[in-house]
Order: sequence, then C-alpha cells, then structure tokens
Amino acid sequence: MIEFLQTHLPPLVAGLRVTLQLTVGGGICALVLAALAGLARRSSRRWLRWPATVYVEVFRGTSAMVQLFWFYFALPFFGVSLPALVTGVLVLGLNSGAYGAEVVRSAIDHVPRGQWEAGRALNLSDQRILLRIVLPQALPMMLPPAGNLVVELMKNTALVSLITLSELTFAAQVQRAATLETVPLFALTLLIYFVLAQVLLAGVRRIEHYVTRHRGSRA
Amino acid sequence: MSWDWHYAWSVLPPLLRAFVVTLEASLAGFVLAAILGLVWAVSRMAPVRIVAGTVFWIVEFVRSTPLLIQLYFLYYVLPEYGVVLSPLAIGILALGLHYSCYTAEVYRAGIEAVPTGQWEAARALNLTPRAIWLRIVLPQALPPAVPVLGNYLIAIFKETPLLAAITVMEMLQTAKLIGAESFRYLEPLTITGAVFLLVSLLASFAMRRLEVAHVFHR
Amino acid sequence: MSSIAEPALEFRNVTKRYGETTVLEDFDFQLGAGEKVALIGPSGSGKSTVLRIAMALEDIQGGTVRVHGIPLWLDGVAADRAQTRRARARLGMVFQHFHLFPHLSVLENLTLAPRLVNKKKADEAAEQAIALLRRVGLEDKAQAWPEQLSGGQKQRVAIARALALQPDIMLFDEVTSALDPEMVGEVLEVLRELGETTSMSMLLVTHEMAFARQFADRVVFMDGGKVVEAGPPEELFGNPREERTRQFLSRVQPM
Ligand SMILES: Nc1ncnc2c1ncn2[C@@H]1O[C@H](COP(=O)(O)OP(=O)(O)O)[C@@H](O)[C@H]1O
Ligand SMILES: [Mg+2]
Repeated sequence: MIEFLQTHLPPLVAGLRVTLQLTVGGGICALVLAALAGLARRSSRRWLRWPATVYVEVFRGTSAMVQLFWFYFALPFFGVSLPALVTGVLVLGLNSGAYGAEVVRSAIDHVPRGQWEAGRALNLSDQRILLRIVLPQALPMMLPPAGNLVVELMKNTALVSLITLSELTFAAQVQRAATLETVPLFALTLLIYFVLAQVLLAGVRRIEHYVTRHRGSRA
Repeated sequence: MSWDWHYAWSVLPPLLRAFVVTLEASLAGFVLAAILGLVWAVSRMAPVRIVAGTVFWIVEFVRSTPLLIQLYFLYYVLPEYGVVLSPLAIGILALGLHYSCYTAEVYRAGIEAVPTGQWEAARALNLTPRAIWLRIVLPQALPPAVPVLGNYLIAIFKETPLLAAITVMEMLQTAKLIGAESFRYLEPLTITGAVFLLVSLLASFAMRRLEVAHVFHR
Repeated sequence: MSSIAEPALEFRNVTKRYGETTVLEDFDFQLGAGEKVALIGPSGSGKSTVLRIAMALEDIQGGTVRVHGIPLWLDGVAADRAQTRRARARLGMVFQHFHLFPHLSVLENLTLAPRLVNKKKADEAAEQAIALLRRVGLEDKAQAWPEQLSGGQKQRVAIARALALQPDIMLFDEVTSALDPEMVGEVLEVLRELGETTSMSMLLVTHEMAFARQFADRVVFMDGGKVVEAGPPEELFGNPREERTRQFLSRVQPM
C-alpha cells in the first residue's frame, strides 16, 4: 500500500497540478465569456446579439472533444499553432463559457419584468438598472447551475490528455503502462477527481451562502 | 493554406459511414442510460437505508468523475476479469453508465413531484409496493421526465467522440486518421464539427417541439 | 379469535412523536364494532394522526394498536408486512384532499385496488364500481377524468373508491374541509346515507358540529393529543363536563 502510493502518488500529483491549472484557467475564461455572451444575447443591438448567439450555439452544439481537436490539429492550417496547455485552457473556457452564457441569460430572464419597469419609473438608465437592480437578483440564481458547470469543466480537463498534455489522466495512463496496476491506479485517480469535484462544489456553495446572507442582511 | 473543396468532398463518404457508428453508440448508450437511471432513482428511495445510501454515493461518484477515465477503466479492467467486449460495446456501456447517473436525477425529480397524498391513498387501498410504483407513481412521474431525457440523448450524442480514445472508429477518430494520412486535418475535422452542430441543432429544435406538444397534451 | 364484543379499533398507551414534538402520549381510544364516532378538537390536536396510525400510514413510538383484534403494533413493536396488510384490508380511508389518481379515469380509480388487491375480475370490478358510483350519485361520470370533476364530486368518488374494497371500518378525515360551501351538503348526504344503511364502523374527523350531532353514536373531543371528553352527542354538545370542551364548542358553534 505504502509502496504503491510512493510509486504512483508523485506523478499523479504532478498531473493534478496541470489539471488544476486547466480548471482554473478554463474557469476564468469561461466566466468572462459567459458574462459577455450572456449579456450580449439579451442586448437590443443586433451586432452584439448575433455573434453571441452563433458562439453559444456552435460551442454547445459540438462537443468539447471535437473543439479541442479542431483547435489543436486544424487551427495550424490558418497559421495559428498553440501549445497544448493554451489550447486546453482556451477550448475549456470557450466550451463552458457557452453553457455559462445560457445560465446568465436565463437568470436575467427570470428577474421579474416589474423590476425593469420600476427602475425606469425611477428614471434610471438601462445600464444602471442592469447593474444595480437586475444582476444582484440574478446572481444567486446563477450559482447552483454554475457549480454544476464548474464540475463539468473539471471533468472535461481529462480530454486534454488526448492532445498529449500530461495532466492527471495522462499521468495515470503513463503509470498504468509502466506497472499494469490498472485497478488500484485508476481507482485512485477517480478518487482524486471525485475529491476535487466535492471541493469545487463546496467552494461554490460557500459563495452561494455568502451571497444570499449578504443580500439578506441588506434587505 | 486554405479550404480545399475537392479534398473535403473526397473525405465525406468515410466520415458519413463513421457517423453511423456514432449514431449507434448514442442510441444504445441512451437506452442503457434511460433504463439504469430509473433503477438508480427507484433504489435511491428504497426503504433499506444501506441500499439507498450506497446508490446515492455511486451516482454521485460516477457523475463527478471524467467519462474518459471511466472508459479506460472498463477498457483495461473488464478483460482482466475475463469479460471480452468490443471497444464499441465498452463505449456504449460507459456512456450508458455515466449518463444513467444524470437521468437518475431526472427520474428522481419526476418521482418527487408526485404528491405524498398519492402514496398514502395507494397504501390506504392496500396496494403492494410494487403496484404502487407501477400503477400509481411511475405513470405520473415518467411523462414529465421524457422531454428532459431527450436532452440527455443529445448530450450523449455529443459525448461519443470520446470513444475515439479506446479506438472506436466513430466520426472523430475517422477524421483524425484521414487527417494523419494526408497531412490535412482542416477539412475532416471541420466537417465532423459541422455534422455534430447540425444534428445537435436539429435535435434541440425537435426537443423543443416535443416539449411544447407535451405541455399541451391533455 | 375475534369475538362479538371485540372493538373495531383499539389504541392503548399509544405514543407518537415527530422528532422532538410529541403528538400523542399514552393515548387510549376504542371504536366499537358498528359504532359511529365523531372525533372533534382544535386544529393540531392529533385527530388526523389517530386516523393515519390506524391506517398504518404512520409509525408510533410506543403502545398497542389493534384492528378487529389484529395487532398493528404490540407494545411498540410493528406487525410484519403480511399482518399489516391483513389489518389494512379491514379499513377504508377518505382524505381531506381526495387524492384521486389523476392518471386514471373515475372507473379505473374504483377498480384498480379490487383487481390488484382482491383479485377481482375486470368485469366484476367494473360492475361493482358502477353500483358504487350510482350510490354516490355519479354513475354518469364513470369515464370522466378526476380533473373534470368538482370538489364535491371528487370527494364522492373518493368515498366510493374506499368502499370498493368492502372494508368493515371507514375513516373520514375532514372530508368536507377542502370543499366550497355549496358542495359540503352533497358529501354529507352520502355520509348520512352510509351511516343509516350500513353496519360499518365509522370514525369521522369533522368540524361540522351539526352533522356530527345527528350522525354519531358517540362524540370524542381531543385536545393536545389526549381525549378530553367523550359521550353521546346530546350530552357532549348539550352539557359538556370539561371546561376545555366548553371553550372549544363556544368557538366553533357560536350561539
Ligand atoms: N409530518 C409531520 N411532521 C411534523 N409534525 C407533524 C407532522 N404531521 C403532523 N404533525 C404535527 O402533529 C400535530 C398533530 O397533527 P394532526 O394530527 O394533523 O392534527 P389535526 O388533524 O388534529 O389538525 C400537529 O401539531 C402537527 O404540527
Ligand atoms: Mg387534520
């Protein structure tokens, strides 16, 4: 047991570090894209709405793996060659950002229309209403689905092993090939992913808790 | 370099043949997910605590770990126990197992939406637990679950490229091989993406129609 | 084993808790065979709980419950499943909110349990169901869906559904409380007819004091999970012994 861990844990932990980089990097990308595209899809300006809609439909309509391969293998034909880690972060961000945009949009849609009307009646500009009245109410609604999306993103980091980046799944594959201790090794790897998912979910729940409490104390 | 229509046209037939494999895997995986998910959902409500708790954690575990490594796990481990399956069959098994943990949630929501009064009235009529499930609860819980299950059919379809990792010759794997042979990845990969996009969009559109039809049914 | 003198329902030293809150403590109650008892008391006093325990819809934390001598609970120990089903077979229950099965037609609501539980043939069950619907004045609604019925009609179907299993004891839990006022009468009329023409034992939780008075052989007043006072309707309504009974009655039937 000790020996098993001594052999396998260091390479797996090294892989986990890359997995974490992908998760955090992809998560930040996704957050920005989700906010921008989610808001753009509700915009009254067509030149904002259209590109956002195309982005969301394309990245939700094809799978993360197809996107990953396209960016890694096809994009170089346009003269753009990105390292695997950058490709991973970018694709994970683009993919989750598209799903996140839908979360943002639907949360904003769920704030009652009366809130907009009340804001206009107070002669506030639309930007002000959005920032000061609508988004603070929409944010708590976004968090539970956002938690699920974060876990989905983390799970998708495993795909990046297929474009040769040595994250956790890749490390597990290498160790398996070397020692053929498949069952305990993959069980350990799955367990690491599981713990990571629980940590991420707990983190989102903390934010959720903070946001709702914060809101409650001001109300 | 730019898009080569001639080359694109020539790679279309093998890609479409591989698309059939993709469809097979999606449909078979979905059927498995739909059946297993119901089993999980019902056993999560088992009166025996141990059963309910164990199923809860299994579902939670499978749902929050990557499908890719589950795929490898089955691919390498099943033969060690003498279970020899084709890569496609393993892929279907993994897809079905993984997504059954999502469909279980769908069923659970449907079951929980059945008012407790329905259970009590059924017990007061002395129906057996089996009859309560089959005659009273599931007939009310399943219809609202159907459109949501459809969304998971689309999700499974989009996940099939993962099967490339265990050598299943589905569309993405085929595109990659064609690309490697001719040193041109752009066309096969773009066509693959376009086919996925097209089917997903059509399927989502059909699902919305189904949902609307469902709302207006009776 | 069962003798003529044996009560239809027997509660002895029954304790029922939901977590910290104790709903019934050392609760004693009997429903005689063929007896019609009205159970009254303020909201939250535990009336529904008594009915639900009799129907084995609730666990208890101590005491004995018998249905026609068949123990559901013996000194806090539950009967096995087969015995519970035997006891339940003697009981029928009607709920405040009807709980008709929305995915089944009125006729199917009435035939499902007789077919599955009593192994009746489909045509036999249907025949009996039609007869019951006629009895509650709804034979023309056999093919209707529950959602097409008014509240009063739903409740009459629910009564017929409970009767379809031919129970010896009927439990009614505030069966008119969820109804619009103009529909209360039609349901009470069905209950009155049942009371007059059958020898079933009946336990009726109600806030309709006037009806309880003419319907019941005996009225039981509960408060805080205990029987405060019980007696013939004329006595309990006309000349209550306990102060708490008097207070309750003055609130529900201002005169
Ligand atoms: N499922 C439950 N969980 C917790 N408390 C309950 C539950 N059901 C009933 N109670 C409590 O038990 C008490 C008695 O309830 P009930 O028998 O329904 O009263 P009644 O029918 O006389 O109005 C009430 O105080 C009620 O709050
Ligand atoms: Mg009650």
